[in-house]
Amino acid sequence: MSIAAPLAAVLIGAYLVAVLERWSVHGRFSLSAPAISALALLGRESITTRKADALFFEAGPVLLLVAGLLAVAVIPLAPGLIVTDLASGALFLNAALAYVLVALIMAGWGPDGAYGMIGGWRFLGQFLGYAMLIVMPITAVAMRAESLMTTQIVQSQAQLWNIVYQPLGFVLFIIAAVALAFVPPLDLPVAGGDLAGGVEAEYTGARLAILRLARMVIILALAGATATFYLGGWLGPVLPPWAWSALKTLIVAAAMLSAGRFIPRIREARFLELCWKLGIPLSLANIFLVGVLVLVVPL
Amino acid sequence: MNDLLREYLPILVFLALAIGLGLVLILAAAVVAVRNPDSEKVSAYECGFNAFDDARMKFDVRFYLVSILFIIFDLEIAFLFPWAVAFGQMGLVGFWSMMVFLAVLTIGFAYEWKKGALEWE
Repeated sequence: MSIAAPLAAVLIGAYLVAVLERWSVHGRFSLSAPAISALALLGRESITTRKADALFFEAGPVLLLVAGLLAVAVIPLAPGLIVTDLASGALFLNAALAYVLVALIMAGWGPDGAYGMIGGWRFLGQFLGYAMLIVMPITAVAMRAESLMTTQIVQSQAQLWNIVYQPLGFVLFIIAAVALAFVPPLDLPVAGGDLAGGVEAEYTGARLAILRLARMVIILALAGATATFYLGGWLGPVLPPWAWSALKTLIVAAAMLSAGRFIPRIREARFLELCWKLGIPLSLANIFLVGVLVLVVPL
Repeated sequence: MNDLLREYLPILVFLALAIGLGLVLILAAAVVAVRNPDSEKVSAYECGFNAFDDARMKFDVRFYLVSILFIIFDLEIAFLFPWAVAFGQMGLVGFWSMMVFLAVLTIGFAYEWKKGALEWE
């Protein structure tokens, strides 16, 4: 059990994701900017709206942070550098990230503002779309590794990374990851342009800082999960294992964050339709194909 | 029991750390930040008019049917996970029995699709 090193890695990683996000949104690479805006947020007045549901209002952002941090707990940085190597690690990741939905609906409901409320419910629509696309590809990954342990999943890719072995699953998973982390173009719950911040609209000061931090941790968790499940985790030549994990995770995070620059925002109704009519048949096909591959060419 | 404890204890510690971090940030702001609320400031955000209504009103959840279908698929996944873990030991028999299960599910899915359960608008 080692907690200090992974926790430090998570905080540094989340900070770097914040740097990357600023880079992808504003086009400026600045290592100090997130720290400055975090300090500014902490000093700002943190108001509670008039008819707020106190419990949901306060618990929403904290629960979002809890969900992200728990998801990170099962992602290996290197052999032995993992908070806990659960036998059901990949499933635990899912379970932890399911709370993102609960937290966002709580944070949307809490302040009793129309924009937050719509943002929260929108995410429920989005969730119904991406949820299957995140679980079914993980099943196919587990089929090859014959385990849900994240370290085993990495070791199963020693011969060939899963991005080559099951590219279809990778594409579905990364789309679902973008939706789950609500980064553009699937940032429907916070939708800067059309919802005035959505779930984040009524939050100010420290609570908004927690929401933002939680979002960075969630992006980090999903980028880490993608690197673990599809890009061979810590596997790689020359560099030490932790450096490979960190590098792959940051590259995936940068790719996720830059997607919004090239693709317009998709309405939740359209996204739901796409996910169910295209995504689910494809992920069923993915399970079938991987099953055949594992039986015929076990690499 | 000890194994279970050893595996999940770090999760509990992480849970406590996450909640602690959130509380520290909120408390720090309560000490540091200015507090000067007035009735305009604490009213919910609206575009151009006063927030006179309650946002927690009844509305039509159009995707309720999809969410019911989602539960069916979620249960199916609960079957898929143990199967995937034991996949290597079961060989062809295991593979085809799950494919039959998935085929039945796909028939149901095609029926839902044809009935228009996936149409939102």
